[in-house]
Amino acid sequence: MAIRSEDIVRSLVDQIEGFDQRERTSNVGSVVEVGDGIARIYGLSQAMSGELLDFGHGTMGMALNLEEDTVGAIILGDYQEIGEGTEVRTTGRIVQVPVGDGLLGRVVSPIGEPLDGKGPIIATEYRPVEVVAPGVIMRQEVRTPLQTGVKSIDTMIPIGRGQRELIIGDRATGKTAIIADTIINQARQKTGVVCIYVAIGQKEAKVSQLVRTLEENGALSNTIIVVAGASASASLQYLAPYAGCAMGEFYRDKGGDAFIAYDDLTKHAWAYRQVSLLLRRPPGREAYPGDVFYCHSRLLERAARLSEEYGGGSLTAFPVIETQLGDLSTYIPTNVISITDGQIFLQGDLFNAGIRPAVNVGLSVSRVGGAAQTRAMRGVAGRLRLDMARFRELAAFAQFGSDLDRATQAQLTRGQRLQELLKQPQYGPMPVEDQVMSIYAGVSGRLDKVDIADVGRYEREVLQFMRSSHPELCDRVLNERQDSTSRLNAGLAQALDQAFDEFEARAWRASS
Amino acid sequence: MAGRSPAAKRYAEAVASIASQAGTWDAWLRDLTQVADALAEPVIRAILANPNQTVNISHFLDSRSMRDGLRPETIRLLRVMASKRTLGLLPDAVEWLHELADRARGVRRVEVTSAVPLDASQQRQVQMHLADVGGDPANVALTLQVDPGIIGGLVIREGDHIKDRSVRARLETLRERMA
Repeated sequence: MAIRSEDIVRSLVDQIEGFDQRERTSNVGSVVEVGDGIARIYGLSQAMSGELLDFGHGTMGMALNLEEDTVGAIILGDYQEIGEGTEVRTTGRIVQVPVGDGLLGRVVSPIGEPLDGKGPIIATEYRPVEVVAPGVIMRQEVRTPLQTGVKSIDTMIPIGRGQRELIIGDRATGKTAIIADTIINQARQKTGVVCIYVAIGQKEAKVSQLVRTLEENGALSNTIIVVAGASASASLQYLAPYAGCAMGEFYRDKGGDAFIAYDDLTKHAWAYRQVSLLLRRPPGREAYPGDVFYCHSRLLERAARLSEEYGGGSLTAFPVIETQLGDLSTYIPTNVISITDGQIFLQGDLFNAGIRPAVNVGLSVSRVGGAAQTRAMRGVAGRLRLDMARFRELAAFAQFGSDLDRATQAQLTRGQRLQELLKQPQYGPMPVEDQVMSIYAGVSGRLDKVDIADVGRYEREVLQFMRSSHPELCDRVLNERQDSTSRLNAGLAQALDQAFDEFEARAWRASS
Repeated sequence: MAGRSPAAKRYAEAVASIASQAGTWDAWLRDLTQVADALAEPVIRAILANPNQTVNISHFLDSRSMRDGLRPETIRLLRVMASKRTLGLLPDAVEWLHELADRARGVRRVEVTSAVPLDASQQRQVQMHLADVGGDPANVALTLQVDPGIIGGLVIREGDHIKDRSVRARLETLRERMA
């Protein structure tokens, strides 16, 4: 779209002629004390909670504490210029961020300023960062899957659009990797789900690496990155998830689907604790303020699946929590576990044992996603879950005894193969139909006779074979509509068996 | 309008309720302003900073009150404040009291900034304009300031409320709108 100079001139003329604001009324106050990203301001008797305050020099703030004669505010941005006595004005606006397609592929700060050097953000719309979550009437149940492309998650801990699924684990157990895979999968499968990654208190190097990875995998153009890095003020870190959420809500409310990851809410709770203590709010357990639970619950409630009357859009949230030494029972983790619709628990031991993604399938649950699984997937996943549970039980015993009966040995063999099958390289999300066929090979016992070391190769080759020789079968798996709740439709199973037999006869060469 | 102690406001409110009942606003303001000025002297401030101030202040109150002829109510207030060791709040309390007195008598203090000095008739016009409908323009107390930086128009400030009708503000708004 070319912009003609006459248009610009006309638009300017319109703006100047329509400019008839005779007075600017505002409420003013003066800074009494300032420091560590917060300010206490005397006056401002008309300020609203959450209102944007103008500190001059282009620095803005957000009113949080409204007291009798003073207002406690967080400063969004540089506070070097602000001193005692600085005049502060109200703006009459609640804190807002730019939203819309202009942000896709961009890295922005929590107030929507570009951080990637790609020029100004072109936003057509602004949205308040703090809004009330949709009510009961506006929602409907979660029933469309959000494919992460990670086998162990999509099969056993299925995620639905509009769900809140916690990713929890120690440092360096692959939490961010799961989010990256999910984002890449949306781009590869062209699901149309817009992704938002909110980095809170993360190392800037880690964020820039993630941005590069997404770019290399063609997923950045569909993604908004909101960064309040480790060196950003606590105020900005506090604001970041709400800002990211507002950007996601734009898509949710216009009937689209969005996915947002908050990486991570532990650091968000720290930032909020710092801000609260500096604003002299009373400390509670572990010095967190009393409303740290509400601070997270009102954020995560904004992830929702809207009913058809409201457009049927969705916002799926993956909050991340970092635990210390696998301890799930501390304050913030238990809080967020109770808010979310399930959790994916990543374990350091598994990670070090080479089981990656290091999902502990025993402790991970998805409370609503089962309804969202595709039919074929549900058919194979029930069996997988059962086999894996038996395997975990036996594996503990089998370490001691050597004399095992046949049935037990068979169960162990099966479990080891399935565990091997669930391993997946990073940045290699897998389409649903591939996942179903691959898991089917495992639960139908085909892998039992394959050497453990060959499981990965078997999977690769069989999927390749299926794609080239039986593309119709891939479609059938994907679009399976037969209403069988716990088992795979017999007709489909038969067709799969035939194809697998064909593969083993024609193309499979076991090494040994 | 720096930060004033909220505790001082409580004392001011207490005095205000006595003053409005008895109609003794002027007497209170005169007395307390006098004491606050006296307390502002460095020597006396040092005495106030003394942790044993109750003893010292009692002597001080006796002598000063005899000389200056403070009213007995004022001395009672000072004794209460001294016994609670809050005499240091008095200057803040007097500021609050002035504000409360203005409010009780319907006086509004307005700071008017203009680019050029206003003559008497212009001041009168501003007062007329600022007085509420049916209000008395004489109750609007103007503090005049001249700031050529606003280019033209007026900036009217009452308490923490600003009505900016200056040319500078309009230009700034225009710039924001066109940015």
